[in-house]
Amino acid sequence: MERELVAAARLGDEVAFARLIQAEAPRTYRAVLAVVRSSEDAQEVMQDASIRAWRQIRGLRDPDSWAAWFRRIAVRQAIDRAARRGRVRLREVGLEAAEGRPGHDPSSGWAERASVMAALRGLAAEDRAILGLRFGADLAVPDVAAALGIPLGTAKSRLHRALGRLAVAMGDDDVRR
Amino acid sequence: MSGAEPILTANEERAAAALRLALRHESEAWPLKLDAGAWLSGAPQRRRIGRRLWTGIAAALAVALVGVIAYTTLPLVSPGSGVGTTASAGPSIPGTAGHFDNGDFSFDYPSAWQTLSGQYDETIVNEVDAVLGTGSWRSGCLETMYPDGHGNASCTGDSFDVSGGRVVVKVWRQVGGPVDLCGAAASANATLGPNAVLETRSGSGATWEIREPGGQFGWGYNVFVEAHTDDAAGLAAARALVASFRWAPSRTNGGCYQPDTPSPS
Repeated sequence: MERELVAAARLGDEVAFARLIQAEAPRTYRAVLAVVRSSEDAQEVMQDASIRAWRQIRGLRDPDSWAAWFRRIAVRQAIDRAARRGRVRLREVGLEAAEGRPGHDPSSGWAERASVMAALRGLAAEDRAILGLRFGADLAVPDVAAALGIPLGTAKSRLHRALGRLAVAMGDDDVRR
Repeated sequence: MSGAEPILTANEERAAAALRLALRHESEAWPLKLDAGAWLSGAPQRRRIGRRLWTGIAAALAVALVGVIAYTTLPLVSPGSGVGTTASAGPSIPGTAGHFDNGDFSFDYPSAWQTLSGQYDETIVNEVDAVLGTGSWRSGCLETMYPDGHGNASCTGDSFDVSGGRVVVKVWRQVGGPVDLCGAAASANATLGPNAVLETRSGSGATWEIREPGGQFGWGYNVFVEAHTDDAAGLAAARALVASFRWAPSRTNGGCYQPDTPSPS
């Protein structure tokens, strides 16, 4: 089914393209969220990535690579966005942004989730990207490698290092708290 | 878990589980809402560009002429096509220097140069970051606007007028599209300032490809500095611009880009 949708989208079928986006966007959104750490930025990145994908989909000759191709566009834009944002922080997820947030219930593990997102802040955008693809988008490591356009071995080593750094950052946060 | 999965320590397992939960919760708390109107317009139509995109392009290309444009272009750089090897200890910007910085990279240029264009999407594969110089330039991208607010983009080649010793420098990147960007990597054939570059001469002009950190010549996201001039001083100023080029510390290449590589599963 996806192959037919990609083929139609390549010919300019906007409805087919929308169905492709609807199927893939939610999981990619979680990966993007890990990179930019702001729901507003993540929404904008996904919007921009969708438009860019629409413009470029004629160049996608292999329909089977659609998902990896779209993820790569989105994650790349997320990394670019994060780099441009620099130290500018909008509504990042964190303990200080608790009030008024949906699901802000200290008894439901909210603090731990906020701690994780705060720990992400100390990681490089590329680390957040690989963690977001693996644990946000729930992709297998070969699919993570395909989305990033890197060899499988490189993906494994980067993922391991990034996860180690996240674990350390979370441990540090535990100590501070 | 497949055999490709790294073996995790208890702390890493805990971090992974917490991250998975946090991202899932966050995405549910702030669900993704895409504006499908940016590309959806009802009936399918080949090569249509959404209203939002069109608006952005139209604004960026306000200087583009609608009509027939006689154009001349420099050939695009192909790896290994450079002529000869040149080296420079680092040419300097003549006179007062202006400074360009878009967050991804920065460079200096003569302050006497005009900004002929800022950033715009040129084709499905190229993003232009800046066009600067003393000559005149017109984009080769022709836009056609439909009454429903959508448009077609058709890019052929830019037109330049650099007569009388003038110069135009176009700085652009290849960011996607149906191009294999994992070909055999060429070696640098020139050094300008601290930058090892791939230089291609074309008449009295030149193009320099500058690798993104961690990348190779021929890969996506490299920067191309394209100088159009018939004047040695103009070319020297363009060389000085390349010599002053610096990537932002955060920039790194994630690997070559193969749009048709199937996703392994």
